[in-house]
Formats: sequence, structure tokens, C-alpha cells
Amino acid sequence: MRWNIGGKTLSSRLFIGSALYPSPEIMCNAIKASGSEVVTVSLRRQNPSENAGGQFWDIIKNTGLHILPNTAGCHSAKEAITTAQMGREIFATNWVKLEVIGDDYNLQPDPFGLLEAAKELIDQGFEVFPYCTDDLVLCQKLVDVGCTILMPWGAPIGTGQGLLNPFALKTLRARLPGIQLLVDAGLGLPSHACQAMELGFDGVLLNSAIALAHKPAAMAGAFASAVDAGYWAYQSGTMPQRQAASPSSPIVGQPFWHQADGRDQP
Amino acid sequence: MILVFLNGQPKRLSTGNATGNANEISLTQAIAVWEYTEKNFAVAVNKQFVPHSNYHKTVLNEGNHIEVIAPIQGG
Repeated sequence: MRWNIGGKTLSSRLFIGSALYPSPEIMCNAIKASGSEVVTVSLRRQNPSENAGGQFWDIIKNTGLHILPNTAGCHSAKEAITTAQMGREIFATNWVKLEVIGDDYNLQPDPFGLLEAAKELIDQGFEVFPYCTDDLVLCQKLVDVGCTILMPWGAPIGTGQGLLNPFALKTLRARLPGIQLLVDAGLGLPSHACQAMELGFDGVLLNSAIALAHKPAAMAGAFASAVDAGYWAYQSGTMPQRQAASPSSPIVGQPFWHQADGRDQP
Repeated sequence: MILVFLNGQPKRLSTGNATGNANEISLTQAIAVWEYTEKNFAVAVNKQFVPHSNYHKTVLNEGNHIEVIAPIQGG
């Protein structure tokens, strides 16, 4: 099922990171197995004697995927804005995964810096994918400054703990129906991705859960299946939960219905 | 000669010639001196992004901080 996000048409709802793989070859195999059409990349200082960036960029370019540059490691709106501008020049895309970190222990987004940077970058023509917490008011304010895509965390980056606050994520889905929501960060299992999709999210972005698996390509395939399963579950409409059991087989015509068994007889 | 910081490391640069001012050096010249041969990098001076098209008219001054960054793996 094709869908549109940030001005591009995609088939996959799984966005994949390019970090932490044991080798470039394993990364490429995992990306291919994931079916992802969007891959995240970052920017770091480059010394003249090195060309690691060039080699990596050649590999990523050869995948032919859409590039989502991040601003990982930025601790202020100013740093994030400058990094986004540099990414736009290098990668020739107006997409940016906007990260402004407020706490190094949790890698928790700084909501104030994030909001400031998002507003400025939208004014400069960027398509901002803000990595944010699941706080409803923050998300509403990001929408107010022009964000049409939000990427709340499931759990802190790299923890693999899954959706720590499904209530908050459900609330975002209910209160921001016109906004595209992707869970970004904290997913560890395909079932976590499936759960996010079952909540009505538009996609998921993950890296560590695939890259750190013993078999990254196989895990990438598992996540792809889970995202599809969750998507179709949400599209299909789930049954209401009940407190008491309710038989699925018909009662009428049941064999031995109301027939006394031997235990009731004296 | 001026002292600048390239990716946080102190670097001395000889000034003169290209801009016509003996006390100046352009970003284009500095990039050449530092032998950045690849094209896939971007530059910020004092935390301000400088587009490739502006390197030649960007003059470096004593104490400037120059960041040269390139693509890397990211999540």
C-alpha cells in the first residue's frame, strides 16, 4: 500500500538507521531485507587525512534510498539548525530528522530547543521530522509551528524497551489525527513495532534492534513483517476487549447440552 | 599568520594573496591548504553554515572555529 510522507511516495513504513552494524556489507543486507525506502545518516567532523565519510556515502548512495539526515548530538537549537543546513547541502535533501538532546543520560529531547529549531527550519523550507517525547502539549506546539510529521520516542534511544507509555502514544494518535506519527527509538522487538502500528502510527524508525541482532538481515525481515501486520491490524479495526469469556463456538446445538452427567446422579 | 581552530584543533594559516589583503585568507584557500580533496563535506565557521558557493568570499580571522563535517552512519 503506497503512502506519502514529506513529499515522497513510499511503500514501506519502516525507516531504518545505518549505524552500529558489524560491517558495511551486513548493513546493506539488512537494509535490503527490511524493504525500507528511507535510511537515516549523520554528520561528523572530517579530518583531511580521512575519507571514511566518502566511502560510507558511496555505499549509502548505491542503495538508492531516500536519505534522512539527523542532527544527532546537538544540544542546542543553534547547533541543530546549522547541522541541518550542512546536511541539506551534502545530501541534497530538505528532509531532516531533528534531534536536540536535553539530557545525555536518557538522550531525552529538549522540548524547548526542539521547538525553536523546528520553527526556524520550517521557515527555511525544511521538511522536519522531529524526534520528540510523547508529551501531547509539546507535540501540539510542534504542529502549531508547522510540523506535519512527529516522531515521538517509544523509549530512550538504544534501550530496546519498546513502548513505555502506550497511553501517551494512543493519546497523540487520537488528538492529532491529521499528523503523520512515527515511533522513533527504543524499539527492541518486532512486536514493539507491530504494537506501534496497531495504535495507528504511520510508521516506525529504528536502528539498534536490527543492527545489534545476531542476524541483522533476518531481524530486518522480521521487523518488516511486524510493521505490515500492525498496519493491517489497525486498518482492519480491532475487536473490543471484554472482561469475561465469550465462547466463539455456537451454544445452540451443542452436544450433551443440559444433559446430566453421572456426577449429578445419586 | 593567524591561528584558527579546525574541528577543535589549533591550526596556523599563512595569510595574504588571494583576497588582496596581506592579513586575510579565504575559506577556499584554507580548505585547499588543509587538503580536503573530497567534495562531500560541509563547513561552518563560528557555528554559522557556509555554503560551498560562499567559500571564496568568506574571510577567516584570528580565532575562528571552522567545522568540516562529512557523512557518517546514523540512526
